[in-house]
Amino acid sequence: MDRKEFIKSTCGICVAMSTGFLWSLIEACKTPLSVYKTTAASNIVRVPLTEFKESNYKVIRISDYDYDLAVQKNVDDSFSVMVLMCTHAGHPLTKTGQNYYCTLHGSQFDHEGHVTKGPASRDLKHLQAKTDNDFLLIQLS
Amino acid sequence: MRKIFILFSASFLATHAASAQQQQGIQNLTPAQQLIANTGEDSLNSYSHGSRTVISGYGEAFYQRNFNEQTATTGLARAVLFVGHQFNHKIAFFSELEVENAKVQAGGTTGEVGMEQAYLKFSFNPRQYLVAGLFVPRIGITNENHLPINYNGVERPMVEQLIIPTTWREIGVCFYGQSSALPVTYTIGIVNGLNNAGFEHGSGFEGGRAEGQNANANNVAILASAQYYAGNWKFQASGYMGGTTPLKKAIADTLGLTSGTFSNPLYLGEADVQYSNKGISFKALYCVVSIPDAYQINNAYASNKPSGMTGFYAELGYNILQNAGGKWKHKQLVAFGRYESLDMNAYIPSNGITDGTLKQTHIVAGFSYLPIPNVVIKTDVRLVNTGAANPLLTTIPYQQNNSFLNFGIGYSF
Repeated sequence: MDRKEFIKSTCGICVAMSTGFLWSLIEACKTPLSVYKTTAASNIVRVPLTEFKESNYKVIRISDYDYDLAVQKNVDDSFSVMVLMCTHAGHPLTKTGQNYYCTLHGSQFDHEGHVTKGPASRDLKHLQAKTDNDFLLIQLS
Repeated sequence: MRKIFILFSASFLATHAASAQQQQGIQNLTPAQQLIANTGEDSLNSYSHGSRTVISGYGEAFYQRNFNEQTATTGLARAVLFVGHQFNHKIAFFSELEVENAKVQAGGTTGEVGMEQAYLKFSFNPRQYLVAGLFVPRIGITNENHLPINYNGVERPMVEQLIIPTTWREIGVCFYGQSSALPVTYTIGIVNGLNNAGFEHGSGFEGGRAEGQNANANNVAILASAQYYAGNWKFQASGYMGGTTPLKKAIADTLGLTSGTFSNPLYLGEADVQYSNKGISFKALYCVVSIPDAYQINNAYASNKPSGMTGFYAELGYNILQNAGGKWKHKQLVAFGRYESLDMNAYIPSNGITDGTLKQTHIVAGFSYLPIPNVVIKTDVRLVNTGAANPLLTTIPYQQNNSFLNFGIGYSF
């Protein structure tokens, strides 16, 4: 198999995959990853509640903090906050659909942070959060 | 006893003082902040910015019945000790030390102790980091995620053993990134190249790997991957391009090979897709390997190498306990079926000899039971069909069909 044949063959794979890929890309463009960037002051993160008008889910990215936070607004208007850190070796998690995935050793967590695949054995860390006027206050420590 | 008492007293006083200081700090917060601060959550910052050491591991044991041979084998396939250390929030170390087949004995024919991984990880931010050292690159599905709880079947998929030689690790540097706006992750890296002197007939390019052992870095390889997450789907494509002749020019010329960074190259392309939702899981992978200069390599080493190999598999699984309640609620019983097709003789150079036994299909069906997410008990049946043996290569009678019954256990923590 020479180089041309190899390129032809791999291009075939790309074409086959592109159908699904393009479809999913269009889907993703409709619902891009919702990220709110902020900073923490005295270990408190303040997120305007207006951020949850469009969507009940938000990823919070805090400068100089090692992990993103996943914030879910519940049906009773309370909030669940999880640290997107694999509880196995401390690797940042990747969001996959409703769930979370660690690329380091393959641990998986469901949307509530429960372990569904090891090697992690502890559920994701939840942080306490409380609304105060127009803000959601998240305590980092 | 007095020393213990003094230590205990000092510890108590220190804790009490810290608590009082914390309470004072809490009083300066707003009512909402006070409520949060009093929850007793342990400090995330204390370990996200500090140092810590993680010790864990994984392993698997198997029993296999070969119906053609009417024999059975059993063994501890591997036990791996994982040690990681986080020096600070930017630099960490990860390693996997593996013992294969339980025992390494002087003069023995089996068993292997090897570093599966040992690298430093430099984090730039939560989404971008660099690894340097011996690492397992993101090529295929199983190579990076090779823990027994992560795949169905007692044996790893045959395509990811024979075409992509899992677990394939080399020395190098690799950048890992994730888009901040889209669910896309990517890698790009450089590692030492392969050595075509180690290529053997019937085992792909497995024998050409250095795996961190005095790798000759006269030739190198570039590898890259991209993953895309869309809902419950995950798409991946990865590629590898590297030289396979690490010899100096004079020796390479003598053997009729070329020398240099990408001498007598090997190309690997792979694409896969995975789906998981409501207990249904699906994965499919296709890969192709090209060795355009197989003719020259065969001339040099008489190793009867192909110039191209291909492999494909698709697997469907369902967690029977997906909707179970009570004591079965958090357990998983996955029934699965997998079809694999591979051809290590897909393309052969004019000086190669076709070996039909290297064109194989494998049908695997079985169950994986996970009483907890860290432990798996497996059983499956694998039906194998191959092409006919070439009488030029062997005179031993060969049966094209065979069946295997497998049992296995695996763990990771």
